[in-house]
Amino acid sequence: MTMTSMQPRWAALAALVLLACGAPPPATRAEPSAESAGGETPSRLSRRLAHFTRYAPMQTGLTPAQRASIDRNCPFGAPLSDPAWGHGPSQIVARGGYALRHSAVDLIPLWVCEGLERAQVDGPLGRPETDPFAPDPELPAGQRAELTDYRGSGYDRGHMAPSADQTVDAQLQAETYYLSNMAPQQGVGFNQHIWARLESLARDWIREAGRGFILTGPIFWDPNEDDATTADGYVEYVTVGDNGVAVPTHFFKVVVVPGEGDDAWRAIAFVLENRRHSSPDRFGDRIVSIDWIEERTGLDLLPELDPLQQQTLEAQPSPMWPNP
Amino acid sequence: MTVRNHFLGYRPLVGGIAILNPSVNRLGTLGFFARSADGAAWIVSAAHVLTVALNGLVVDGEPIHQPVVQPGAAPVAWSVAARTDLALDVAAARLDPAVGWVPAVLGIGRLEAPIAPTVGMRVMKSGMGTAVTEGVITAVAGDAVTVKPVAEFASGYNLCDPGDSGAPWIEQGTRKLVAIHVRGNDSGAETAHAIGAKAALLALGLVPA
Repeated sequence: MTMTSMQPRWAALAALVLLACGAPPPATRAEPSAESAGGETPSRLSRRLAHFTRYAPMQTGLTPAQRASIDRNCPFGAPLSDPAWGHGPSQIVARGGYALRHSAVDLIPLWVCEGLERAQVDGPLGRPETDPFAPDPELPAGQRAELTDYRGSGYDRGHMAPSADQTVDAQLQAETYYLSNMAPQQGVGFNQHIWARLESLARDWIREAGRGFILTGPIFWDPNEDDATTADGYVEYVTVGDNGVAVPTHFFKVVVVPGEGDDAWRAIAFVLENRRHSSPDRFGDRIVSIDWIEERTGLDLLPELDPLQQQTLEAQPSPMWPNP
Repeated sequence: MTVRNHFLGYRPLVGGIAILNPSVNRLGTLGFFARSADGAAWIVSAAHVLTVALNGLVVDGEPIHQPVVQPGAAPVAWSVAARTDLALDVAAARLDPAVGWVPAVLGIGRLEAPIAPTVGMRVMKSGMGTAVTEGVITAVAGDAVTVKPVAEFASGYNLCDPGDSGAPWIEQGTRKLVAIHVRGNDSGAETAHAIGAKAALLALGLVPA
């Protein structure tokens, strides 16, 4: 049985199953009313974002360990969500090898940042021999993807921070297999091919520069929305599993490495559609500006970058192409 | 957003910078300084930043660090259950007399005596989460103060974020203390919730420093 359902983007946001706070309500089967057609259709208790609420969470911040992870993995600051976008409840997960913001709505990360050095990607560790995938123990059940959500879905569990970026420390590598660092990806022709080669390409830039930073994440984007004559205000996408893990339409990857001079940085950004791609890889056609991604994700990816550098790095596609 | 300057270690201490009770293990903001009748100096912040409550009882005598626990660095203050008001979500911690401080707020300057909040008042705050931001008071209900972004500001204006709890809200023109930031919102229109500074000081049995 496939567990995939199609829905327009705004409907999905409204149909929030779980809020950031509190345990999920138990699934129940309502008693059929006298008017129901035979009373055979099961119903399930759900929750959605309150459009009106006086609820406000306390505003203590990160733990010192999370803060240190952010400093190491997001040197230009943790990406910021545009408050007007309504990304919904989300939670920072910060570990040694990456930091991410996990969406309690879509059950995938909004973004994942990695701070990498050459040695990390050139170590001896290969892929773990036993099945390493696991739900994220830092996230409460009901607000995270479970292994069963992906099972039989037809989608791969696609890494955002790749396992192959952590080849020295087994713990850091194991942590890349938490489902909070995954999103459903087309397997053949995408996750197992062009996406894997893009990840490899990103590591090549890190090797060449000695160190750098990689930001990866999902995009829900319909090219029709770029044209006023075709735009209808919706992006259709599918969800998988009982928890409704959202399948992004596209993914982005941004690589930032030191450039010339003490403070200069170079960056390159790619966007790939989450579908089967044919060979050969045409990465040159998939380069976009960081601004382009920010406009379609509602994120400020490098919020603490010097404004002049922002103008240089974000506004135009990168001069880093072709390959290093 | 986290602005690195607010996460640094400051001696003397000022308002608006990062503080940590290791038992809470979540960064918050040092709001401002106050004094008790015996002349002792205190830092004032949100109760959920400075204290842990077990079964409704506040744990006494916990260390407060600035910015975080560091090898060889002593706490700057100690929590005191008697100077905690869980209902208002404000608390004070007794400063170590050896730790210097100035009655100023990072990024804003010297702090003036508190005044009562009023609707329409333009205010600014300095905090660990979003540094210095500006807003306007849109509601005052008893001790509770609501702040929203100025209407003319961009729709994406970030008023506050996690880490700002305890930050002082200050009248923009006079730099008079108005309120203590305690809550915000994850999504939807930006809103900050604060407790009037005068009410907080009264509840804590302190006077402005």
